[in-house]
Amino acid sequence: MPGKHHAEARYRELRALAHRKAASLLPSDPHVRIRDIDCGALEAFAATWAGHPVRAVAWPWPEIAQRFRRNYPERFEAAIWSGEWLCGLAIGRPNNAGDMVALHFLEGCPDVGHPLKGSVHQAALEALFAYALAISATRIRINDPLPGAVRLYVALGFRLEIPKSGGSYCEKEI
Amino acid sequence: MPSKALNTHRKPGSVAKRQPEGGALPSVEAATLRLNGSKGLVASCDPAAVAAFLDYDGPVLAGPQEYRKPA
Repeated sequence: MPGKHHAEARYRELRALAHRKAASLLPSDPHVRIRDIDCGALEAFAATWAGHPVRAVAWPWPEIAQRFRRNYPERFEAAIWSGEWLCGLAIGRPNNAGDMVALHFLEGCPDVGHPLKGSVHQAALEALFAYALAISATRIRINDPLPGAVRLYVALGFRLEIPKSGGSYCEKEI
Repeated sequence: MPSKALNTHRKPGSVAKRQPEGGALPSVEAATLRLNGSKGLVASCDPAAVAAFLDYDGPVLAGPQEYRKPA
């Protein structure tokens, strides 16, 4: 079994590959960057998102990122930027079997004037898809999708599942 | 109650039991080949079907609607 530090470095490299691939697939914003949720992303979150009046949730991204980072070297994470503007944050992880990668949290910038308006979904899902390919997973999943966005995921070939145990998710074979 | 999304059934810090390539960590070289051969998620779907996805301009959000710290 590989050590945690070795695993951390390897999965960081795989995420970077997936981030680059996803960024290359996005329509024509030369300033788009996808990176891990690093200190810069968390600083931008604190400065521009955290107290935003129209923010729909109160997810504490620093705490969420720290918890995933501590527990899951193989996690998926993405900070989606246009220049210096933080436009999206996403985090998730593979299941224990390693054959499915789930997006647990996805949030777009609450300021509707951000430069990737309309492209954050695509950036996040392309990054998730690419990361799943990179680690040889065969399924991707979006946990607790916004009901109004389910039709979009279905259009991409996801199916909606509503387990009796609660919650819902959209899943797609890749 | 902790958020469902943050529950862990695995010892913190451990790596997933199944590693895709024979017990080793996934290979960067193999991942690069797979990614180079991929058109991406959207391009691999029917163009007519993805039009609504690409035109979507609404809120971007997925995850638990509440967040509570684990006990």
